[in-house]
Amino acid sequence: MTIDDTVEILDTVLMQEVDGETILLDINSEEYFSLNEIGTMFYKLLQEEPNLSLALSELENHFDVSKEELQKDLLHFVSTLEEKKLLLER
Amino acid sequence: MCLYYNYKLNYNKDKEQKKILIQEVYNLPYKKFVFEVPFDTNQSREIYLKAKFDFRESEALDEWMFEVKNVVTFFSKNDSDVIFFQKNRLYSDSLMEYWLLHIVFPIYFTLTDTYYFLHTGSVEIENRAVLFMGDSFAGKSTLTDYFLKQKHPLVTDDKLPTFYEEETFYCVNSHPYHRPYRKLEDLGIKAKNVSQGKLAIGNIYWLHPVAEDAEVSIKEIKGLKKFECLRYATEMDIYVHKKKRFEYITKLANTLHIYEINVPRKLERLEEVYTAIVKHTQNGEL
Repeated sequence: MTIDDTVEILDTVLMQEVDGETILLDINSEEYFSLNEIGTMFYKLLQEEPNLSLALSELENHFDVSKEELQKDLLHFVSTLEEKKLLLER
Repeated sequence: MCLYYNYKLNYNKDKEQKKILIQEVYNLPYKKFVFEVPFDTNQSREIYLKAKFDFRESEALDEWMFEVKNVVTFFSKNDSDVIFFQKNRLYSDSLMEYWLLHIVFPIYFTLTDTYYFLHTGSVEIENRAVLFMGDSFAGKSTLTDYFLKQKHPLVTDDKLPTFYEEETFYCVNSHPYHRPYRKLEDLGIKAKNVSQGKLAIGNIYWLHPVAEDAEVSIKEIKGLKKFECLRYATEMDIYVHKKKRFEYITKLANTLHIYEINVPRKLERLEEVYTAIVKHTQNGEL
């Protein structure tokens, strides 16, 4: 996956918060996952903005780190979700 | 000729007792129910939930059969107050009642989206239901039995029907039996002191067995672990209403307190566990 890609969060993945922790449930596999605060922010942003380069631009407004570092983290995050079948490359 | 059972249920949210007719039939349409989901072997029996189609991706299941292989098959529809059954080779009335109370009613009320079932022991403490959850052999039934001996009303020995109403989680008693021992397909002992009507759910205790000489201690569980406790304790996780059920369990997690209690593996120390729970619930934690 590259920063020029667009992703799609599957509608078979449900999200809820418990005591401030985000829990994702894949209703097909019945597997669940938890996201930390930053993962939650990435996930919520991707729900609104599936284009990765536009999502990255938005994230730059929130984190005081280099664009390269942020891009690496974002791509790692989406690759992990893709591996777990929680999103697709569109 | 048919046999009729007008089953008196304790599953009553309101004052009026819900009545479900249990009716024997001889011609269940087995051939139409081609899709079956096997449950884990239960009480050494093979059991299946059957439908006319693959309902695993569905939001609802309108007609269903539940088969206890060679014993009995039940059938019902979501809009019906009747559960039909057909006897099989190894049928007996007591086996039918066992499966009806332990699995069929929970399936019926889950599919009709009436209750969310939790696998838990529960007793009444000061007008609230206190729940005891834990892994197999954690001592849920043993602790529930100890509370009954201290004159606390029984809410349930293992399956608790819960629901959300007016911003509160409530539960009702399912049936009056408790089983502080392991015996296959046995309803257990009928408790004399049973909770009546709906009860608000108070604290939940996750039983954590520890060494005989370990201290009895209580600490609160939060976040993902809390969700995992409730998910583990979910009964009748039978595919339908998945979204609604996920929302329910997370709301439950966000509303109620769950505490892990260290329970020494020594019966003589149950009194300490009992005292700790009663004191804990009375210290404003309910």
